[in-house]
Amino acid sequence: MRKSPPLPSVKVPRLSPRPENPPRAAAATWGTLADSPLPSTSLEKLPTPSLPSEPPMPSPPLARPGGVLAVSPAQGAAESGRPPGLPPPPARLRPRRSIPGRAGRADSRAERPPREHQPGSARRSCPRPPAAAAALGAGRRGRCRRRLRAVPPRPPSRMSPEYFLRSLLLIILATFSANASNWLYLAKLSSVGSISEEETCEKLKGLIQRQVQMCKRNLEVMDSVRRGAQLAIEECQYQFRNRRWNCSTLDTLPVFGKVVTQGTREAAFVYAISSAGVAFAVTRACSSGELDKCGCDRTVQGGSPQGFQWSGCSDNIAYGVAFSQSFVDIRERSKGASSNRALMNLHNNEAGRKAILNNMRVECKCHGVSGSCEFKTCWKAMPPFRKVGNILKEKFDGATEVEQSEIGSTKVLVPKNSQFKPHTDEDLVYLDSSPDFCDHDLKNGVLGTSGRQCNKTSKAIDGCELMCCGRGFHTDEVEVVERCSCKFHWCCSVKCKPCHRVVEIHTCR
Amino acid sequence: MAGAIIENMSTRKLCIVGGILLVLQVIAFLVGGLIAPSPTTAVPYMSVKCIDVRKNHHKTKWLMPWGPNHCKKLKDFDEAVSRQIEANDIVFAVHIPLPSKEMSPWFQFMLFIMQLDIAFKMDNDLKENAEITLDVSLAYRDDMFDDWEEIAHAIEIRKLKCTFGSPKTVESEGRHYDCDFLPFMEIGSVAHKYYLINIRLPVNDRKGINVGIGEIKDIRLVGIHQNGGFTKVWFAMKTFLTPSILIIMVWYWRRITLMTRAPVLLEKVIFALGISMTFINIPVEWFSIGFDWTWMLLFGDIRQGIFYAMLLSFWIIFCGEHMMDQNERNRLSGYWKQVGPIAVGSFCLFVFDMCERGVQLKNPFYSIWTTEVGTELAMAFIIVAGICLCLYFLFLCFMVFQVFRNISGKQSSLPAMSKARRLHYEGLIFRFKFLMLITLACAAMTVIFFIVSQVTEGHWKWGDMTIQVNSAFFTGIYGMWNLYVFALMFLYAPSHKNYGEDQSNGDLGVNSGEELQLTTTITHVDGPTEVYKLARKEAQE
Repeated sequence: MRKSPPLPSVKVPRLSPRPENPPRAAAATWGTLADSPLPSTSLEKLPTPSLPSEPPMPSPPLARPGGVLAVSPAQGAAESGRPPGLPPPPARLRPRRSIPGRAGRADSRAERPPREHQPGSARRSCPRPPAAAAALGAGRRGRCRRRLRAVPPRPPSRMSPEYFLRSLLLIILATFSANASNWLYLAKLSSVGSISEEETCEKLKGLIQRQVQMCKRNLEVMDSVRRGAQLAIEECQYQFRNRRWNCSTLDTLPVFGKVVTQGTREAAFVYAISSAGVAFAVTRACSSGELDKCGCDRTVQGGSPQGFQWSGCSDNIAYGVAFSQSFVDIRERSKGASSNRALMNLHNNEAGRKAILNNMRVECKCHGVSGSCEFKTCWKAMPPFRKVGNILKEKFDGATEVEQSEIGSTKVLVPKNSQFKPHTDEDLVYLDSSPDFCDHDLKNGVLGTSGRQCNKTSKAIDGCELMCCGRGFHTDEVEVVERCSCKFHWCCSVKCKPCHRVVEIHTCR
Repeated sequence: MAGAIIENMSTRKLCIVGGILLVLQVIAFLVGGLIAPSPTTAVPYMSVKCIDVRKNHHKTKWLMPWGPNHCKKLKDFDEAVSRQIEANDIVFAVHIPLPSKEMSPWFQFMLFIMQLDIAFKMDNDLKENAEITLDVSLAYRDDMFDDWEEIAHAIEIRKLKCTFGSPKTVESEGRHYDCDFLPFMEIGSVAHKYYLINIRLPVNDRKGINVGIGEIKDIRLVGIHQNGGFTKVWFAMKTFLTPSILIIMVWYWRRITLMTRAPVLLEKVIFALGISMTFINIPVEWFSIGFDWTWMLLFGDIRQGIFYAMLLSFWIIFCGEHMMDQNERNRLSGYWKQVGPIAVGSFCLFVFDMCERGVQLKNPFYSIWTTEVGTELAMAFIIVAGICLCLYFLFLCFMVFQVFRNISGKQSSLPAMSKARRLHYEGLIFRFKFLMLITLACAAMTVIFFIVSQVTEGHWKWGDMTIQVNSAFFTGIYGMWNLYVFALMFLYAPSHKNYGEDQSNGDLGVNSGEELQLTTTITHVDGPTEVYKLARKEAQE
């Protein structure tokens, strides 16, 4: 078998066939597959987990057929970094949910698109600027309608004028109160190809008006922005592969579901990693010659007109970070950085960039007479993005819960618990505690852990006990075709023998 | 019998000369610190993965990473897998410089190092002592629309020295190895505007080429070149210093030839030091702006080596000629023990430089450090040179110690002398010590500034002003040694005024008569300085 794709194929028995897929796409089950060497093409073949029909959070610990004890919600809370014993987070969140027909408070509108219960949620899941909506045409609309169908209970009077008006209002509201991380939707636009024309900017979903203007002005950079968004999502999914919230993305806006529109710890991570991703990708594009404007044009030392020939250029990272600042932060800045959510986002965006800036490696080369260190030249190299992800994950684990406070006339974020030492520029901060992510809750964009693969022997969060929130798990014996005695090249070509192996796969109920 | 200017100058005049030199020294530092940019710049380049589509036709040999005729690019190697592209069809392309910039002859040299991003994979681990085979070629053009002209093509083998920080488990798959950077290329002139590097990593299972080198994710290059601004300041400095040293040299030699006696060894050595300084100063580098002379780098090394060897020899001879013992020196052969190590050390470094930069004239991708034998050979040369240097410094320190011991012995007998003589000798010893002190200060300054420039990050900021420490180090130290040589030639030139005075001095006249009587076998009676003469006399006694 020559030049085979390096991923093996897996035969997985279909466990519980589902009539229809929910709007979550392939990526929704990403976490399930993170560890298994499955080809991406086999994603569709995977058992699509059925929604648990029983009450989502079983209060009495039940012994499951899998033989594993269920965990109490308190244990689930430990997952999101809080000490066990605290009340489970949903209690905090519930009152904030808006009632159908009410748009919520003025500032909460900015934080997340207004929510409605069943019918609206599906329609809201594909909000777009009116112009873009018109341009996108029927194909997109069709997708939306299909998604609408996917939501189980259908509104009884769907076409009523009152409902229509309300939906229209919601679409408009969703457009203007769009999530600040919506630009991450760029990562999903692999079909667009290269962003090389100004018209394309208009069509891009998830950008706010000022970002569209920036896109038009910096067309060449937009491919890197998209690459940065992809990097960020990939890294997020890698870092959270073993957790209940596995950074799975939806095909709709907001990309990560509602979790990110609230001021949670997860949102803090997503904002940080995405602004780091853009800075990283733009810097990288600079040094591969894809961009013209890097380095030299901005901050040349000495300021001589000869620029590059007189004194060389400044580091590309300066440009990458500056671009990330102006593109990613633009939404919070345009709001005037007054709301606590804007302050939190700005802080976390900056923390993400700091994760790169403060971890640049300084490398030096001696090149004097006979290789002596008479001449020594040093430069800064970016850390690998995996390392940036690791750093931010650590910051996620030690994130600080903050609240707004006014010092003089400026509003700042201070730790909620005054006994904690104040957070630094590099730390992540959050406002709201996270839900436990146990149950499928499409309204909040929580996919739930049902159907997720878990580790039977682990006692950590990837273990079946914690991962399945006490619902227990299935165990299936699956025959896996693996590659063995492989001969690799540095790229592309792998010569392997296929080996068949039977493995046990545990999936949460 | 001649005295040197240093002995006959009044303290006031000496102070004035010292003050002027100090001002010039400060100017030399400021020129580097304020006008010049940092000496070198490092530009990071990320190679672009091109697909070499030509299978049978050789029409487009060079693959451009960007620009109008850019190659078909791969975003990452997962794409290559899905498109069934083989490793042998992938070319890493780097265009120098980055878009909308041009290289310039003012950059003087370019050197490149290579960094490999190798991801860890459980089943595709990096082999122990893995070697990577690179098929590299370099081309140039001076116009964006010209064809590329090949400069060099070579197949190079580099050793991978990588470590992996995390445990080698499935968990850490995808993390990168921590690899030492590899020397990649060095060229001694930047005569063209655009350069293009194409790197291939050919795979051959049968011959075991490029097998077991892990999963390469990216190839990064870092290009280092001298800053054009620094080159200009440097050239300006050289152009200014050359005539100054040349004039003082001519003046010095005229003074010596005006005397009736033949010049002594110390005078010759000082003159030779002047010549080697001028040799370094002559700004032949101006030619590198117009001509593609890649040997300029090697030539610069040789010139620098000659000067260092000359300076070290001068110190030994200076000390030896002031040694107040019985030995008769005044011949270079008398110093073979001390000058020998200098010669051997310089020769070793010369051979090493020829092996490295000499071969690079032919193959810019060559590096002596890449092969086992080469590394050992290079290390051998450097160690021998190091031993020679240590040996030399031991001799030098011992000689300085001897001189000071003899001087202090002389000082104890000073009170017995007449007042005029005593004052005279005291002045001489003071001035001799003063010069020793200056030499030491210069050496210490060089060492201190060298350490400072190594430790600090290149530039200091004071408000709006940026001081380029590294540039200040280069211009300041260069200016300092020029001033040192200048002062040496000026102060040690024979004094005409003294000549007459000494003749009229009866006391000294008797002494010299004595001396003449006692030293009939000595060829050169006249030392260049009174101290020298004093030492000689002491030796006779």
